[in-house]
Amino acid sequence: MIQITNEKMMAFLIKMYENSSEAIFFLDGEGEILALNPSAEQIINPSVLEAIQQGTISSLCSFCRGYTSDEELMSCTNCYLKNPEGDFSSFQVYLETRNKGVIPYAASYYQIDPEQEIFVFMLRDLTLQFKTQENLYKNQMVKQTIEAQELERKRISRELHDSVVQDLVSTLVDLRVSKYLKEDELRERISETEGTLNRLIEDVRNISVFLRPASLDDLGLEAAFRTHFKWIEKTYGIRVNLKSMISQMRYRHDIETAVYRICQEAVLNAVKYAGISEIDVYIAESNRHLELFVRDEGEGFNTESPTIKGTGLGVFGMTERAELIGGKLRLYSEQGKGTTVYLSVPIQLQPKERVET
Amino acid sequence: MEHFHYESFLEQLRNEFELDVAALAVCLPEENHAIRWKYISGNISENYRRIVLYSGKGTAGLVVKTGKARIIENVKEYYSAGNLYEHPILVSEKIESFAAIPFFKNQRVCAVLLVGSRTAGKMNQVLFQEIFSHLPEKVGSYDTGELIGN
Repeated sequence: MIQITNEKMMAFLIKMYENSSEAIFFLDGEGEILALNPSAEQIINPSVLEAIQQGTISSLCSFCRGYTSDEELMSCTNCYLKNPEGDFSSFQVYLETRNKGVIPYAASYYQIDPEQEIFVFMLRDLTLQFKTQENLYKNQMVKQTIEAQELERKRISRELHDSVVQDLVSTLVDLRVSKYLKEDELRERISETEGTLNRLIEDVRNISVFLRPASLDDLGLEAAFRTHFKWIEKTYGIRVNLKSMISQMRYRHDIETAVYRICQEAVLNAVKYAGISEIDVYIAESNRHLELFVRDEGEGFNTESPTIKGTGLGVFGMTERAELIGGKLRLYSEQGKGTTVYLSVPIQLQPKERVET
Repeated sequence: MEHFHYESFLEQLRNEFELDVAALAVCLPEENHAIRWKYISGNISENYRRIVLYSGKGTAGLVVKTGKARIIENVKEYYSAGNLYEHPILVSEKIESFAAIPFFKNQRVCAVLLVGSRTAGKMNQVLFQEIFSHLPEKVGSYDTGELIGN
């Protein structure tokens, strides 16, 4: 490489300062702005920029809205300007910008001249990167939704094919054969066919309830839970103790559906993985929140690094459902100490429904 | 025949072949042909009392539907963690290998005998054949040995 003179290097640096797409600020030890490059000027609101140029404002705080710490998305605790010991070689900062509102930047802040205490603060716009990430996330979500949909269809299709169609075919065969039977044999065959048809009705009813329990729409959460838990007990031999403090209260449609589905998933998870013979479910209202606890005293798991036994989508789906209705979902579990799923959903009183009832 | 003691039959079977669990599931025409575990020996849980199966559902339901014996030598290998819960008797009794054998009445499957071990590999084809040939022609009111297609 050719040795370049100091002058040439100076010229390079000035060009970089002027033409860089990164915003560059030079600051003194007190965090006062000494200089800023054209990219930096582009970011800042014109009125603030004017004040900075006139010297009436000299602090970053006039447009900085905090950085992302371990605890908070936008924090001013342990500000990077006032914490020389901290490592701020790469962090995320939120700035109030011209036209775009408060947006995140990738920032770095470090001393470049210890003698005169000069610091440099550099920023790179993260909007594009965030958008890419968001798209990626959205695409993954769509993919998972489609997969889950297909899986559910497969389950229903199999159920229809294996139980409903088979039983119908066997009934048909029974009917055909019965033409050639003697009277006493015929009577027995008819009672058997009756049994098959009864079972078939039960199967179709189960499929329909599993898809969408009518009792949820007609009678509300508590009734739907009771029916479902009775089914769980019969199918899996596991008792679900329901303690409900909401009696026949009705809630918004989407809230009832989400709470029902989340509870269903939590209970099924306990059935599948906890290795228990009882599950406790508690549902109540407190402080304008609908609260649900699903607790088992089974195997439990490490919440930090769970071993995925199923699709790994269950908990993810529960959290998504909770967020969609403005609620929050918490999972408490420890190896050998059981699992508790806690859901809290804000509820508003519905004047219209109150009048109706 | 009315007073056949199923429990002692199951216990004898269990002891003779050094198995952990023996149970009999029975079809109940009066309950919409539901299938329940009515007699059991060697159980560690009472969950079996609550289980109500239908043809095609659960271990007993599958045998009722197919009319064929089912021999699983290693439950954990055969069923994934996400499928095992569909066979609650295996979960609650911690069964690791088993055979489920159909019992008949008028050529229809009316009961299912489950003989299982909490050790994988304990139940296998050889032991199954041994137990199967050991079974009397009639167990209580049920006929044994009419294995379709076997």
